[in-house]
Amino acid sequence: MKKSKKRKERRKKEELSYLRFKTWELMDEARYASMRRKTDLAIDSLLRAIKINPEFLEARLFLSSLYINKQEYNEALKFLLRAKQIDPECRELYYRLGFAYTHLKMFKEALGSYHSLLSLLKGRGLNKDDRDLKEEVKEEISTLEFFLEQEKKEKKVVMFQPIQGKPSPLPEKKEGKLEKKGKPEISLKSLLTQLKISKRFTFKKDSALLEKLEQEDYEPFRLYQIRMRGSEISLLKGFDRLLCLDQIKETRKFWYQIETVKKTLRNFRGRVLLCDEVGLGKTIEAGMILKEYLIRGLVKKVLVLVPPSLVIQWKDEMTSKFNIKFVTTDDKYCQEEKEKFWKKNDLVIASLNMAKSRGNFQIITRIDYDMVIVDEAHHLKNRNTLNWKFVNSLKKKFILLLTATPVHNNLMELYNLITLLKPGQLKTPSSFRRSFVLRGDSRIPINREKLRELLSEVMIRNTRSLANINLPKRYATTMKIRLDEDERIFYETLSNFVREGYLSHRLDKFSATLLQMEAGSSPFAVRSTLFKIRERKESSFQAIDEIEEILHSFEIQNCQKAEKLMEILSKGSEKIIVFTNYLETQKFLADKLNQAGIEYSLFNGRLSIREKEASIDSFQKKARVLISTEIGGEGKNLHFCNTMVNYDLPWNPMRIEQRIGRLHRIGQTRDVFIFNLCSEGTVEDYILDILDKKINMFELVLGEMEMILGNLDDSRDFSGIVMDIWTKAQDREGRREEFEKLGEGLLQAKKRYLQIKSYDEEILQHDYEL
Amino acid sequence: MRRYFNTTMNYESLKDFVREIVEIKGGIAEEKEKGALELLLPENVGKELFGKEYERLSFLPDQRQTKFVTYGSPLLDKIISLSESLGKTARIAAEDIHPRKKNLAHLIEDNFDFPNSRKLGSSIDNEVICSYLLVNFKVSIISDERKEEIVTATVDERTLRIGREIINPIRKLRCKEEESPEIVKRYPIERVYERAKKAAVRSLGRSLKEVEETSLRRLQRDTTRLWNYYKDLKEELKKRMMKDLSGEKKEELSSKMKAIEMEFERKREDLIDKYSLKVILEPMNACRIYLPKIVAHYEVQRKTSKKELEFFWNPLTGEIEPLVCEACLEDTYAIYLCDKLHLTCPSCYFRCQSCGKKICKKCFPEKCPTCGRRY
Repeated sequence: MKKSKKRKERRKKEELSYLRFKTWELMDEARYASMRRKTDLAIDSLLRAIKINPEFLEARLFLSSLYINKQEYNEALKFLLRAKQIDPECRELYYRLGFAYTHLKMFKEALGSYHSLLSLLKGRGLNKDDRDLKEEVKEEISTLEFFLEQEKKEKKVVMFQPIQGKPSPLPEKKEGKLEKKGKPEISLKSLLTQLKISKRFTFKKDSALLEKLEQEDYEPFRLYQIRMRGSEISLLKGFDRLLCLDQIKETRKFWYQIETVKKTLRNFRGRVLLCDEVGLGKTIEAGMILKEYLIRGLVKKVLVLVPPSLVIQWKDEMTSKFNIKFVTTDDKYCQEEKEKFWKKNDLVIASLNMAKSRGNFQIITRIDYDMVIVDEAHHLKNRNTLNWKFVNSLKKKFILLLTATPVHNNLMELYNLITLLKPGQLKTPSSFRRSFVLRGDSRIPINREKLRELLSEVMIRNTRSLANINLPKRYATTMKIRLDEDERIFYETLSNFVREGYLSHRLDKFSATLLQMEAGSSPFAVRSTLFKIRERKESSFQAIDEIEEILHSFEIQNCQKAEKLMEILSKGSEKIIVFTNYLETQKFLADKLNQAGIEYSLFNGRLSIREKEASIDSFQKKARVLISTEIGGEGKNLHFCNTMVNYDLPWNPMRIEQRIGRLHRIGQTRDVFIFNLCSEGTVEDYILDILDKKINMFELVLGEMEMILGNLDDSRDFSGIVMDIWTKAQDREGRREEFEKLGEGLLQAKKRYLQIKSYDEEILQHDYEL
Repeated sequence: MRRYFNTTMNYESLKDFVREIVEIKGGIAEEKEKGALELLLPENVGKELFGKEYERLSFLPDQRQTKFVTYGSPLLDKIISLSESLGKTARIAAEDIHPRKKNLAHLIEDNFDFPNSRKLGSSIDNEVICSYLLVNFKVSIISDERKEEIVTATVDERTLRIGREIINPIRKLRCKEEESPEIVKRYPIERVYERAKKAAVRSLGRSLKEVEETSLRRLQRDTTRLWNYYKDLKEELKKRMMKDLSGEKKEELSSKMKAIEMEFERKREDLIDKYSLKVILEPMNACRIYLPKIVAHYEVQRKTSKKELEFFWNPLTGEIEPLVCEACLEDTYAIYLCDKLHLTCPSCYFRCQSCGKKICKKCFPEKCPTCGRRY
């Protein structure tokens, strides 16, 4: 009896075990059917599994997902609610409940489910997937809350709202199937979050290799090494590895810049339109491409065409960052022996205006260049201009066109640029117009997909969002200082001297501008220049007398600007960088800080590399203030400081931006504070009024100031314009009016730039990113 | 762990490479001028490369009466192809390595856990020669772009451990070619090679991740573009459907709507396929590296059965090596033995969530033997 009871129990256990096993087999069947998209078969298997084991949670979850895919949310809900009773702490369950409720427009219930899920995602032990899920759920909750708000406002009746006393939210069954209420769409967001990249690994066989190893059949190690070297060299062919990276100094190389270079070399074979947004480093990208070609011996003769104001900047950058030594058209030799200059020099930077001029056009277009680089290439947007015709006539293997704003007014500008790179890429102008430009409005593209396909073969445009450049904010404060009597007399005397000297040509433009700038810095900066002018043989007696008079009047005891600086320093203990253009001012400020017992460090162009490093080190570890005249050397990391004072102001806004860029750059984690000191009634006062108040320069993104200046209807450089106004205006009122006009001009230039920027963003969007 | 050699790639390096190949192939290479080589080749090699036996190559541009060779030039490709049949296998031994560690017992006590077995005795520590197999794979990662690199995988042939520690030190060590030591215990080459394949995939981790991120970004961008396009199409259709139309017309538009949705799905799948990664690994060559280690044999007991374990002290790392789980082949310092004395790690020895049975993944790789639950 006992034995038979035991036997029965054992048999029951075995049966149960078998049934459980069977349910998992049915589960496998369902998975397999689902993979082959036979949903009904899969559902059938799962229903059978659940019949055997009603507590089978996994089957219920799988079934609910199949119903959700079929958009039969009510069915899915049934199984999910039962599953909830089996395991109230299953995360997947709440996620699907939320999903199903949302699609049935039962927002309250959906909200409840997501909140339950959120409560299960607490604690510190969350892995990355859990954290991502948590974020997603929070977003869903806020979306649902929004919908509920909207419903309340519009007093819409929610479908399936439970009537009082009747708890079930589900509608009645009709003929075994629930009524479909249209197909709710999957949101783009959920579509994107579901996207994953699949990976498939394939191993090629090499039985011969295994056999050799098995039989211990070896070759000399030297041959093994040669084989390896050969493989490495062959990899370099494909530009998968760049040789230039190790040779680029003092420059941070961003991943998108490296990828841009690789893509240009690999896919575009050295002919590309680089139109990254401002501030992302197109010059660096161009420099890297050039360097790579030079190292590989694929390029020898290079011509770089830039706006006049950028010639020296390009030369300096190429030298300091890439160790590529260019000559420029500023060279006297260029004027004297033109043909020899162009033919003999392999690496030349020239202004486009100079290069296309009558004397040079014929010579240059006969030379075979390996590479031509054109900066601010939007100056080539019109094929009827000499600029375009000149670049088109150049014989070149590789060409890089750089511009942040490739399209200004209409799509034909883009056509003209692309035709320089790859003639025929966009076929003929009329064909292009017919295929890609809306009739009647040359700004609007049609056939965008096809156009995008063609443009992506010749163009790269990286955006700030791709590069993930998120800089903290910057705040600028301009502090106007009232000069005391002595200082005012000194400034006015000097200004009169400069004005009269400049207008009467007793003073050359350079000396006059320098003196005026120095006067805006400090009287000490002016003194040394005055001494030099006095010592010059060509100085007239009158000039010397005037200089003597100014020097005699140089008995300023107090410097109001310096007092202001001390006031700023006394309010806190943050590290501060004080920028000044002039060594004499730097010395003066150093004395001032010494007297006040404030520890400081000096940084200027006269220091050796080691001394510069020691100075930065001292600033980081000990000193509170760094007084700097040097703005070069981007590699110097000053991120630990977030406050700067412009003790004096360069007249070139881009140089102001470069100073700010020392602190406000990638790597800076704190908001940056900028204090601009200027004395009332001085040139700097007017400049700051324009730059700060008129065009909000300090709120612009790095690189935008350059774009705005490029849009100014004046070919002179900014400091030249300022000097002209200051010296030529008859009186204070006249000066104020002229500066006002300049401000207006800049404002219009900014508006034009913003319009162009907006248009480019609309046309190009994110379609040409890496 | 990717590159075996860290060469500075400039023209000198290129010149040296060409010179070596020529000499190996029985030719003569002389540098009579800076950046140039004069070559005299055996007939067959000369014909294959240049169509003649004598040639002047330059590695700097603009040298007269020479052929210019640089990265990517077809001539260099031909020269490289001569190296592809060379150096398939090699062997080296680390010179001047004499491990002198004593008394591994303490180290074993400190580093290893035996949660379900009992330690018995240990043998005297011995010096033993172990071998690593270093396999170089040429990897091509293909999605909408192609990326190539070389990946090196190293496997300890005695334990199937992934021997990352050998790569960096081996560059600095002096190595000699020698006859294989007589007794070197190792797994069959097929098993070692399978392990090397896994190691190679693991080494790819970072560069694969970069490609994956780029592909995902592009996939998201293209999917967004596609979604917007089809959304606009559907909206236009919806507007038409909302007009007062006949039943037939409405049905026609309704089926158009379905067609649009299906087309969207199809195009979406095409995109997913376009950006999926195909990773092709091709073995290039392999090198066996012999390294002496200290081994200690330890006996452990589980229930009534005993098992002997080997513990190695590695002179390169200066540490005792972990053991290798027989199920997942990962390193482990926590040693679990199942009833069949399989050595497993904590992840491969666990209780079934459904029925609570203790499972060894080596014994049951896929599902619980009791309840059939998969893991």
